[in-house]
Parts: sequence; structure tokens; C-alpha cells
Amino acid sequence: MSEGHIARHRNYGLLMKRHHRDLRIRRLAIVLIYLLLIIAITVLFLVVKKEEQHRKLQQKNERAEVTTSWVSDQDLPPSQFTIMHLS
Amino acid sequence: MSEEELRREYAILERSRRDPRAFGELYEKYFDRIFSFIYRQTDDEDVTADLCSQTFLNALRNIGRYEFRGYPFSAWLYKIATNEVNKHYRKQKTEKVFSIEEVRIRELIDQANVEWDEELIARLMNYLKDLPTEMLEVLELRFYEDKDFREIAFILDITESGAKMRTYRALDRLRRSFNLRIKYDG
Repeated sequence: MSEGHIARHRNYGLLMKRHHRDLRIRRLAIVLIYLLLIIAITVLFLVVKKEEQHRKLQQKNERAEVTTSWVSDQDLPPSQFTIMHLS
Repeated sequence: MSEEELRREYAILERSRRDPRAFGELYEKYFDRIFSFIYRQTDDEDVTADLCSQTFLNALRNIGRYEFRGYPFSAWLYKIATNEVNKHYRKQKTEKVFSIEEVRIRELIDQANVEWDEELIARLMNYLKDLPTEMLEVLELRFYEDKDFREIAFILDITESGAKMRTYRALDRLRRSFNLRIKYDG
């Protein structure tokens, strides 16, 4: 292949343009990855927080379950009992 | 390549790390050689232009990771070019080709100090077509690109003794078939 033929393909300006475009894409990809990471961590944090709140509420409800019974004079078992849910 | 040239090249590389425009000097210096090197392995001008551009782009992208290990910078470029060519063939799922120019064959015969005629060249060209790719690779780097065995080993990712062995075997075949005595260490 002649030198003239090869010279037709030699273009440093084009190479620099491609290099800068690649750099931009790489920077954009890094920003995107960090953004996704932050979103994922935030979502995870919210899910955990919600789950914790839900668990706390459940515990509260369990503690609020009060059973009341009466003992009559004849030492009979309670005729009725009430479960009260306190919210 | 002299020590002075190696140092000068390394200085350009150092500058290129801070400012990619400095890389232009090395691009201009090595473009033709890398282009021809790839062209001989593809025999397609457009594919060669793409691979050559990709080679320099990869070099520019990874220039921060380049470490001087006593090889000239061109060895690193040849290595990247070889990887790009291999990647191309893997993607295409086709056999690697080697285009052998008549001029190169004459140069090889000249090294053996043998009188050449058209018939010998034609026979030799036919013979080289059947040589395994790994032998053609080392012959090309050793006699057409004028690389020493350390550089060949670095470019092809083989050991230095492996590079010597491959060259020796290829030349031994030529000696047995054509009575061409080419010194394998140049």
C-alpha cells in the first residue's frame, strides 16, 4: 500500500474528537452509575425505615391487646372477656 | 532505538498524560507503520483504517496506565494493534489472513544472500501461504518490522524463548525447502 493511500486515513483531529467524545461518555456513565447508586441506597433506606415503622406499630398493637376478666363471687370462670385494641 | 530516543518518547508520553494533544507527535510518527502492520493482517483498507484508529484511541485512553519497561513505545502500539486484529477476527469468526507483498519476499531472500528470480519468489509466496499463522506472525515482526525477540515476545504475549523457537522453526522450514539460510537472529 502506498504512502499516499495511508496518508488519506491519517487524521489526528478526528482521533481527538473521538477521544473527547469517549471521555464525555465515560464521565456521563460515571455520573449515571453514582446517581443509580444513590437512588438504590435511598430506596433501600426508605424500605428499611418503613419496615421498621411497620414492625414498631405491630409491637405496639401486640402490647395494647388487653384481656380483662371478671371473677365472680362463686369462683366461676369469667363469663365474658373483652379484647380492647388501643390505637 | 537509542536511549536518547527512548527518553524523548517517554517525555512526549508524560506530556500526553496531561495534554492529549501532545500525543499527536507519536501518532504522526507511528501511524504509517501501524497501518501497514494491520493491513498485512486484514488485506482490507477500510477495516484497517478502523482498527488503526481504534489502536491509537486505545493507546490515548490508557496512556495513564502505560509503564516504561524498557521497550520502545511502538512495541506497546504493536501489542494493542495485534489485540485489535485478533478481536476483529474473533468477532467476524473468520480465519486470519496475511497479505504477503512480493517486495517483502525479495527482502527476505536478500537477507539470505541468494540470487532471486521470479520463479523462486512465486514458489516462496505459495509456500508462505501454507505456513501456520503463528510462524508468519513472528517472521513478520522479526524481518519486516525489525523487532528483537524481547519485543516480539511482549507484542505477542509469549516468552522470549518461545519467540526465538517459532522464528527458528519457520526459518528451518525455509532452509529445508528452499535452501535459504537466513540468520534467525538477524
